[in-house]
Amino acid sequence: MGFPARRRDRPNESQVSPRAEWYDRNPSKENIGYQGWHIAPHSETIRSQYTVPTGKKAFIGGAYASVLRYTVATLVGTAVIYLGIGAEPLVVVEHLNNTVGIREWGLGLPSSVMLEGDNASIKTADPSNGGLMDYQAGIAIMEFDA
Amino acid sequence: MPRIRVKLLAPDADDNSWHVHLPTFVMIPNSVEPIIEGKVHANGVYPDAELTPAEKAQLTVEVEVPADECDKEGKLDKAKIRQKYRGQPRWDREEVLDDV
Repeated sequence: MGFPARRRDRPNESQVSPRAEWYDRNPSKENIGYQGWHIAPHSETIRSQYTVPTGKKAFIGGAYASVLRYTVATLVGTAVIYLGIGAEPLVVVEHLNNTVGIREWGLGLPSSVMLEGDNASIKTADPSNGGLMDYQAGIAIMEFDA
Repeated sequence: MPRIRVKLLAPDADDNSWHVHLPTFVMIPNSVEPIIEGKVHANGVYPDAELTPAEKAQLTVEVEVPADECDKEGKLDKAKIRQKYRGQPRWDREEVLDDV
C-alpha cells in the first residue's frame, strides 16, 4: 500500500496536450471602441462593430460605456449607448437627465467567448430635442485560433 | 486602420439600426453626409425623419476598417473579405461590397 502520487509527480493536462492554451494560439487584440459628441436627436445607429473571422474565436475581457451631458436639451429624452454580442447586451447605459455634467456609466466583465461569425457592436440613440452628449465606449476583445 | 467613406444604410432585416454593411468597422463621429435640414445631421438621422429613397441612397459616413480587409491602396478588397470570413453567408458572397 503506497501513498497516492503527489501532485508534482503527475503530468498536468497542459504538459501532455499538443494544443496550446487559447491565449497562445496566435492571439491578437481586436478591441473596438467609440468616442463621439452628438447633438440630439439621432436614431439608433451602429457606431462600431467586430465580427469573428472564420477559423477564429474571440475572448471578451470587458466592456465599458458612458454618456455625459454637455449641454441641455430643449426636450430631454433617454439617450442610450448599447454594447452587445448579437442580440445579447453586454452593457447598456441610459441617460435621462438634463443637468449638465451628469455622467451615467456601466462596466461589464463578461469573460465570454465569441464563436466564428458572432459580432460585437456599439450602438447609440438619443430622442431628445437638442443637447450635446459625449458617448464613450469600448469592448476588450482578444482573437485567437479556434 | 484605413479610413474610407461608405454608404450609411437604413435599418433592415439584418440590422435594426442605421448601419454600415461591413463585418468590422469604427464609425468616425461627425462624418455623415449630406446634411439634410430637419432629417439628417453630421452624427445620424433624426428619429422621426421620413427620408425619400433618393435621400437614403445618398447617405454616406466615414469609417475605419481593418488593414487586412484592404488592398495596398487602402481600398476594400472583396477577395480578402471573402477569404477572412469564408463560409459566413453574410460576408462570403459575390455581392458582399454592393451595399458598401
